[in-house]
Amino acid sequence: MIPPVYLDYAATTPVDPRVAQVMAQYLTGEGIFGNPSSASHAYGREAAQHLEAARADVAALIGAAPECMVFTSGATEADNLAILGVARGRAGFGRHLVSMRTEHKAVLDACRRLEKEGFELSWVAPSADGLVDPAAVAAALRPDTQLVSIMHANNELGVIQDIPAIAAACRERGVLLHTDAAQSAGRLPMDVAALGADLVSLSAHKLYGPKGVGALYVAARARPWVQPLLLGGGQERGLRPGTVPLHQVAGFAAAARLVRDEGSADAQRCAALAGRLWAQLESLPGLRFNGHPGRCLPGFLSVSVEGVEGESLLAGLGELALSSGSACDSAVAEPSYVLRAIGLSAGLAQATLRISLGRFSTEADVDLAAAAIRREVVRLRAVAP
Amino acid sequence: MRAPRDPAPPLPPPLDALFRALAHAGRPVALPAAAAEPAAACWVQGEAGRRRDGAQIRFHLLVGGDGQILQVRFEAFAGPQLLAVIEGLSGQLEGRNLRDGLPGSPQDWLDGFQLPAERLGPLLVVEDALCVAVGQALRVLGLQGVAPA
Repeated sequence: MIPPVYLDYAATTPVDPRVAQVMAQYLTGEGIFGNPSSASHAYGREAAQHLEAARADVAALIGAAPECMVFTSGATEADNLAILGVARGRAGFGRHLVSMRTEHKAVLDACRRLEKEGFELSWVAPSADGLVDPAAVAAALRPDTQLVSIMHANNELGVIQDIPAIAAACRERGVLLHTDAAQSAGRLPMDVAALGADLVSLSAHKLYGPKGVGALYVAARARPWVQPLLLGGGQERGLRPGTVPLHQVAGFAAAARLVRDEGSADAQRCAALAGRLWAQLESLPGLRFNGHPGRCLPGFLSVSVEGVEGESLLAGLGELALSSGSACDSAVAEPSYVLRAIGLSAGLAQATLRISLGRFSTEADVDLAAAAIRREVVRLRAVAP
Repeated sequence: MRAPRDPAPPLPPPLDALFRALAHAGRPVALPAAAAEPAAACWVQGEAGRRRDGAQIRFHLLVGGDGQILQVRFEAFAGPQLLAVIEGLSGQLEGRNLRDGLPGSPQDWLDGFQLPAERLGPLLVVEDALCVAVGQALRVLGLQGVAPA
């Protein structure tokens, strides 16, 4: 059986074999298996030393100081820690937050939880290309605003928000800024100083590291205001108790080092592949590019197809592994709330393909994908009344 | 990459084969030569549903003067399961006589094609389109007194 061509790197990436090799050194008795908190013996102290080395590598991914990095179970937990932690930590100063409807559910659901706790949310609307106007964010700030959460790059559209401009507006008003950078870290060079965000969520499995580990960057000025979500130990400077999974963290660090060494070349190649794919698709009538072509993650392509039924389109593309514009967490697929928020009809949202290329994508993959999409669109349109 | 073993493909193999074939899809081109000689052979059509509701289906039936369905074509904007069912029903309709009615009910199709219960609604649209086409055929052929079974 020929495996489907993997075009869903935005959902997850395979662990790079070099990363897996590193992780294997942190599991058995022959390796570094100690509990980093066991300072009473050499196994633990050795593990602690490796933990801090890994922390430094992950911090370097975004130009941060190692002591600002808190390891979590992934970006979802990092988002929760940032939003719930800051909102609750600063509740005495105000109970207002600002975010966007196109955020990841880890942000949306955390915000909804806060609304139930009596916080107020202002939702800033994106434009048709998915970008938010920093002036609109600034206009939504109030004297009681404590936190703004705007993702760096959208997970469905790939659009890259102007975080530095938003950060400047927040800083001027003394408001903390959180950004979910799960999609962008690894695809874009990042520097927290230039970005200006106070809290940044990261995920290992989006950059060829393992699932189950992520990190939250917490700037020094934000640190006093973050309340932990879990209780039970002092690990991660009190912000994330629990034994740190060193094999996961070491994998994250190895993946981060590969990004440092190869990320730029990966990004260039992915951008070229996405361009090659688009060049083969754009002549199809009724095709809509979603997002902003000038502010898009490399290797990312969201296209909506008029005149075809979304589920049929996806079912006809069995040789491709990609995402659609539907959330299939119910019996009947619901159109993506992100695509609906930028103005797509329910039908067009469902007839949307998100193609995300990565380190192991090839020109042959892209050519096969283009041919399959063209074939299926033509076939289904010919069937339609 | 390794080829994954898919425990729950979106379409079970029989439906997948029908969906990929869609051999009856398209508009009628012309009366086939073999059917040109039975005096009253004609095309009728029946349509139901709307795109914005997720399913629009149009059946074309070539019906002989004796009420036999000689050929079926369809046009459809629908999900893959529905397209597969329409294709399957089209095959079942050919050679059938209008007097015999439809080949089962939406509930029968749901069971026969092993579809999840929530697909019953779209199957009603299929039934509606077929009923319109059959009704038109009965009128054209002067067989109105013959109710479909």
